[in-house]
Amino acid sequence: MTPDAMLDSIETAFPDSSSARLAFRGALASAQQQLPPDLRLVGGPGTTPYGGVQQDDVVVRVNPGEPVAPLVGRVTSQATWLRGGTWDAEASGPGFYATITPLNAAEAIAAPRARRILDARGRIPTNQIVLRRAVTPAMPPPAVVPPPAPASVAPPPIVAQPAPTRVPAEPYEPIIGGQPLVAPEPVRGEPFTLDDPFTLEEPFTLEEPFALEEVFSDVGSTDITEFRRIPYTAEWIKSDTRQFEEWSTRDQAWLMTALGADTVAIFEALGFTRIDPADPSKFRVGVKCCIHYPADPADSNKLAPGGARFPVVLIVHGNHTALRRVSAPTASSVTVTLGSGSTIEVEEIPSHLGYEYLQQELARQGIVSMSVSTNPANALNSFIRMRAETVLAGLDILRRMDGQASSRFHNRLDFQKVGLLGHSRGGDAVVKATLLNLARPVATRFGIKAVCSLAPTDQTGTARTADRLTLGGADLFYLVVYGTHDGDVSGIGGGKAFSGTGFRHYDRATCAKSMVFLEGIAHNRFNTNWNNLPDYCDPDEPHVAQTPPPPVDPRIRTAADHQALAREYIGGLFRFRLNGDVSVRGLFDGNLVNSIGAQALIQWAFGARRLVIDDFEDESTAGRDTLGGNAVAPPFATEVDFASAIVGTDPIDPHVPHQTKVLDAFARPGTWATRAYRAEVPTARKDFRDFVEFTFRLTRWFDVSTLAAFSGTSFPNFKVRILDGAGGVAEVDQTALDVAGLRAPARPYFHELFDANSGPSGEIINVTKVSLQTLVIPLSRFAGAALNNVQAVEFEFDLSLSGHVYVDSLMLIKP
Amino acid sequence: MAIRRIEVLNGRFEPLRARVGAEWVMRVTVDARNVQQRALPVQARVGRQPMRAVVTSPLGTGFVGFLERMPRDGDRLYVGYAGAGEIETSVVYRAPGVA
Repeated sequence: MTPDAMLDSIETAFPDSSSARLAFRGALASAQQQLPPDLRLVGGPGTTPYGGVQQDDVVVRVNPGEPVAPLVGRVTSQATWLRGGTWDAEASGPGFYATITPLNAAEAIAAPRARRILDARGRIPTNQIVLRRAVTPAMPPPAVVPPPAPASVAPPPIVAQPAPTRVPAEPYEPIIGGQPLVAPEPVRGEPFTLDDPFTLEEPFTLEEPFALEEVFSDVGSTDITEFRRIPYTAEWIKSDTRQFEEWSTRDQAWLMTALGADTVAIFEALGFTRIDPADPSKFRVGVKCCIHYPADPADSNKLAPGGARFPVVLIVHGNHTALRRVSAPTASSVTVTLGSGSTIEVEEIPSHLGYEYLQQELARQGIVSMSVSTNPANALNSFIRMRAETVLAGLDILRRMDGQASSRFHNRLDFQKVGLLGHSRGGDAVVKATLLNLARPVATRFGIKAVCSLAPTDQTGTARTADRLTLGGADLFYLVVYGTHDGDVSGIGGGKAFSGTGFRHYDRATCAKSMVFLEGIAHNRFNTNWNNLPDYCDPDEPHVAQTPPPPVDPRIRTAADHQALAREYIGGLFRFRLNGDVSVRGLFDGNLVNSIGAQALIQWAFGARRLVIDDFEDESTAGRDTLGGNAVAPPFATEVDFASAIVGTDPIDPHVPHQTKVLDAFARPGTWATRAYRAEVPTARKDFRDFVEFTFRLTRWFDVSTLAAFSGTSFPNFKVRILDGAGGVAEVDQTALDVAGLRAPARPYFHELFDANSGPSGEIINVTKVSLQTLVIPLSRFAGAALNNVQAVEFEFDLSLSGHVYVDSLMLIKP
Repeated sequence: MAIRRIEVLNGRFEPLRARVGAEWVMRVTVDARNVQQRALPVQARVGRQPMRAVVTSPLGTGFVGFLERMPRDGDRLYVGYAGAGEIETSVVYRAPGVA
């Protein structure tokens, strides 16, 4: 094969990226004289190389846009799992390293050096390709040092339980020389071609400033582990007759009594707890974290040059098995001697490493992120406070590093642009952490500007009102991301149950906010290390626990989709609020469809200005709207707690996830004095000209007993009128709605799950939610009334509907 | 592993000689299978008294909790996940001296 033909064949792997083709072509051209003529591509960026990486393979590494010469080199040693950063190996983070002898380099860098040729998952970094001669001399497969076991969970040794079949969500192929992937074994001496060249697992582009995987690196060669006492007093979260509490962790003796010496020995061996060296009667909790940062492409041990301070995001996972017992020592296991004298091997499950895909996205955006482990809280079955304290401990660690002259983060972090992300119980914890932060002295307080609760629990929603975690603040933006098919935080029991969802967090928040309720999205798949259930699903999905198992619900999206949406919405949140990138604003007000076309029901309330006309919350002002003007409802409508509403004689709370009051209009034919809700506008508020959109939340009661029952149910018609002080009236109906992006009215998303602990043998439970959605009418549609002299706003119900319609959050928005 | 119905195998009620933590007077150790670490916390009660400070065993062998007051003879153990279903177990507290 001629050199040009070889290059042409390689370029077919990059049909969509001309810059990638040019970069690799140029690199190969620089070493053309040293390369054998019969090279074939065995692995493209982001893929697992065919047959692993072998000696004499040619590795090509490019650095487009950067003043760093490309590398074309020959692999001259076996591949070994390393963390990098040693004197003879580049510092590129955990992965598979091999010695590469450059073929195109000047003498100054011609010396062989161990380079990272595969990432921690055995895939080629996004700026590299691997080539191999079509005819390879006979060689024994190289022995390799195996990587640490992937963080999957084997079931504990339970007698008489069939071992579940685990189907990994993402194929992981460690380097074991000579193992074919998809193509048949080549016949020695004959050229071979792969039937399926390469499907890139991720889009490959070299245009992004921080796209190169190599620049994402952990700090140093080990995770940070620091022990801090997390001081707090026991607090009670009261809910009906059940009370849940956080423990005081001040007493080592209590720990021993509660857990026993053997369990404490396991915790100490794994670094979850240790006796406080300052006071042996107390214990401290380990804080382990992983940091990603935008790095200098020329030296990944440094932050990207420029001297600017980077925003900071703190990520905290939720409750999950913190450790597992293994039958034989592994690279990450520890040996624990029990009181009986016997020993066991245990290893930690690093849940905090399950968001690295998102951390890389944040690094691309110029944001430093730390994912902190709350395995101690998981091991201790903590609810919220210990996790929230751990969040703040992580931020304190970063601030200390920022203040250290020897740290790469010295004077490079902006603690007035801080974001928090919490998943599951972590989603509860970041709300708590924000509130704890506000209680700190100014000198130690962080400027938290954006908080995201991802599939959060809501463990205070049924507590006394004063004890419910509620976010507020003028400079804060709160985002809830939650899935219609969450099989763990499923909202079972509805809006009045202890096990609430992000809907209640959203409803309670008084700051700028948005909630994205995504179709087909589950709970566990956001964390790449939570692959501990068959088919990578959530605990209560019906197919998991039934025998024979029904098929997996086809509406549940793949793990890749979950992570893509996390990058887009959560990455977008921090771009929007920490970097000031307004181009993604539409993701949060429904104007933009996400990149994978997932349907979503969106609620939102944010803008440069917000004016609430009525939210029906204040019981003390009966007969008045939120603006303070008179409010009159039609005879068939009442203000109710949505979750306490009745349809016929049936309470609907099992299907209402909200914690808000609404106007419940039981619209039906009849003779009514009025058919409209009227909110009068005080004179001081009569000028609407500064606003652009009239928004409100709306839904109707749907029969959600089956998917067929509500699939064809129509949306309520309505009219909205603006009346001015001179008698002018501007009236629009539902056809004036802005239906761009994801703003069109959406029906509920049907979801059932299997509760194994209900009834004598478990039950299928319908957890379909009837939820409010923010609808938008541009103010420009209201012609005929003077918007500088508004006297009242009316919402008229269509009585031909004959059903319950729920209205809330009448509002004006200036974007 | 998949969530399956919790199987309680055994329960032990141990009076605490000295009060530990808040006001706990008894430790209850439950040997069980299929107690899962998930978003919803494990909750248990003995009779009508909720168990406090429930901690699942890190090796999946069950859980431990505490009681604020001594249970009554015949009080049964119930287990589940907060807000979801609850199962009735065969573990029953028998007061000393009661046949």
